[in-house]
Amino acid sequence: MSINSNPLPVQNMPPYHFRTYPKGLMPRCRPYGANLYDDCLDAEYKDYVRFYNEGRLKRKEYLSAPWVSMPPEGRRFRPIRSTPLTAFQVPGPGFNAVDTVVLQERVPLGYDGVISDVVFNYLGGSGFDEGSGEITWRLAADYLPTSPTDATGGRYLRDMGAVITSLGSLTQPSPVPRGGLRVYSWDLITVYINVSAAATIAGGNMITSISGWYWPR
Amino acid sequence: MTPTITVERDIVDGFTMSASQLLVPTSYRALILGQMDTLRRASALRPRHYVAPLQTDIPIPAYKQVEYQITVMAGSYVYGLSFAIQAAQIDFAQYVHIQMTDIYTESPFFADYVRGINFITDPTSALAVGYPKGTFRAPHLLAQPRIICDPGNIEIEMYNSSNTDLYCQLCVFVAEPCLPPDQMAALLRQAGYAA
Repeated sequence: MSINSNPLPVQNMPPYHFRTYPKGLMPRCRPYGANLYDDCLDAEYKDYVRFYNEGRLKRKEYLSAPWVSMPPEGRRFRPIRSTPLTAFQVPGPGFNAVDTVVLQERVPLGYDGVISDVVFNYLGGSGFDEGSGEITWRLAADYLPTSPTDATGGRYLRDMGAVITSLGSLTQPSPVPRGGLRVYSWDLITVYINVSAAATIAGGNMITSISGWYWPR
Repeated sequence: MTPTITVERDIVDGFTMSASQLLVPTSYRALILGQMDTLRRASALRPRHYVAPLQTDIPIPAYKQVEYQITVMAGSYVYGLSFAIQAAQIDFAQYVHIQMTDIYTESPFFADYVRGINFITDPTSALAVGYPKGTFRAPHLLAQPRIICDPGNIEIEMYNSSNTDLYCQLCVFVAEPCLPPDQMAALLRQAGYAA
């Protein structure tokens, strides 16, 4: 029923009979015609494409994606840390079951990077069953404690939030599948280790390493 | 030549057509709506809303992540975001890290991964995490709509850095052209514009 065919005076009509939107401004699925504003948006789209093609919007160009193969300007990194098991122990038997920072590496300002290989290993000790959850490794970026006593925080990198098996060794690091783990300028790459309170391991050291490269962004 | 003054009608759409909202013209939201003026007046766009993660990937497991690539029409604009999390888990919204990347230019939307708490728009949840009453409304509008060019892919990454499985979802608000760029050009020519 259209508004003009309603016999009631307008002021007596129930509210839902009023047209509360101007004609022609209803969202619709098919265009019924373009207007000046579509023309503006189209012009912006063309400008954007032109700027991109002229290289104004691109970052520095490399022969191949810099996170796939290291460009000549790249810089490799490979910090290695060894942490004795005593760092996770509490007085008396047992362990602290706290995410403990064992390695930190800051991505240089103005550089992006990729972590291509990791080493999460437990050497020289005894009693560790792979996959038992006694030891959990976590690899994070953007370290940002949410409180002074909160060691966790930041974003765990892809599939590296809770690793319960050892990965690789210093002579044969474990490659990261699917193109590595990308990190960005000024990220704080952090490796945590959590030894569960009831773990039955003894002695030895946690060997931790990450390797990859940075490149100018 | 006599100057021509074009008088435009006020825009009445979902952003302003509400009897319960008082639009203060000097507020952030009102000023952003001003930035969206062209977008709101254009007639050949339609709204599309994309969500991540999909229902099948909810919850995001503890210490895990989801990655999605959504495909929009070239020439689309992303203009808003909305993040929702189960009410009982509202304190965990700060442990969800979100990044969106425009594949066309390889440029991310945010300088770094941003926490989900920033895009909470549910008024009750916003109050629960400490935002003043009435400051958050759905969606969270970007300061300026972001154009997405061909191939129109946006990568969405969401990381859960907490030790709890999280029931949350991000909604991406997109204004999408009804037609691909070449057909849009034809439509504009038909309407008398030199496209």
